[in-house]
Amino acid sequence: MKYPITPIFATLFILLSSCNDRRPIGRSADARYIEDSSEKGLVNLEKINSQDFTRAANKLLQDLFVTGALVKAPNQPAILHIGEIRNDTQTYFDTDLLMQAMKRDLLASNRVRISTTEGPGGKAADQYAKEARAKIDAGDPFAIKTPRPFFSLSGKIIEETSRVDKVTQKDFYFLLTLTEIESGTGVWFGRELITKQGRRGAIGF
Amino acid sequence: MKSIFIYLHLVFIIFLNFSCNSTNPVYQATKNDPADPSLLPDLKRVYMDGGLEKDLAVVSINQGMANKDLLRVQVNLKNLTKKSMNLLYKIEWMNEDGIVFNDSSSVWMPVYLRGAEIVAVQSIASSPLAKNFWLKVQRAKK
Repeated sequence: MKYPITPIFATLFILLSSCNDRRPIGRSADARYIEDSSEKGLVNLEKINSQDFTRAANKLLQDLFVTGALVKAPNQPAILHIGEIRNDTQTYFDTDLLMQAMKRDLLASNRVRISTTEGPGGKAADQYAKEARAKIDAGDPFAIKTPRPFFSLSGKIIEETSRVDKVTQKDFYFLLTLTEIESGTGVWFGRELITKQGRRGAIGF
Repeated sequence: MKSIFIYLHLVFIIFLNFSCNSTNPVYQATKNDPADPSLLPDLKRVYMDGGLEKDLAVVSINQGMANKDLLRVQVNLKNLTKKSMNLLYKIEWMNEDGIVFNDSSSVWMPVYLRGAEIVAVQSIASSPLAKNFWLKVQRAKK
């Protein structure tokens, strides 16, 4: 009796070759483009990935909008100065990876304009706001040239590591403070925590 | 004997089709009327294959304003099963013409639902021009 072996192998070959969506030609030639903040991106335990920055920026902004702190400025849109954002994690990265997404959405909200011509003068958490306030207190009429910022945004990113057996947990804290320069007080204290747990990195989440 | 082989052949094909199904369908919901300003707007749902619509329900959507002029929504998701599930959701904001904003909300956020639990996920539009949204939900990688 002839068994239909050939159709089975033919089906197996077609199905196995069609269900592999990466289809490398060489042994490891599988580089490809993925969309911004895609769920197919890499998840590293030891560092902050692109999706983490976008997620943190989004959550922090939403918290800022909920408090309504920006609406309280007498002149709309108020001018916002971006102070120092300190990276206190174990890996180097440019904090603009976080701030640029926030600046874009802040500008889109039409509640602030962002000062790009003034910068922090020292190493303090928000040295610029401190200096500006000192000059205001001193009554210096030329203390601050226009445009005069009403708010200053500063902050830091902190990393905490915990391990139990072979499982590692990384906590990345994104801490931002919005200071009202006129009064020298913080009007919003944002905190966003991105926690990742596992044994090793993964592709996709 | 031949019929057994044909039967095995069919079972084999079905098995392979299930095992190599690597797509992860997305469940989507949006407001029925983009201009609907009510606190509990009607929803328009798009059901996809993959079983998520059997395990998950968008119970309701509440909307309001934040920062005076930014649209804010809260989507209440219910786990219809007894098992917990890890999901990813994303809320994309659109203007009145249905054009999607390229802002920081276009990122997949993780949400964990315990069995039969209702969880509220929130989002605030970054622009006062945002009038409608797409909620997208998919299962997280196991």
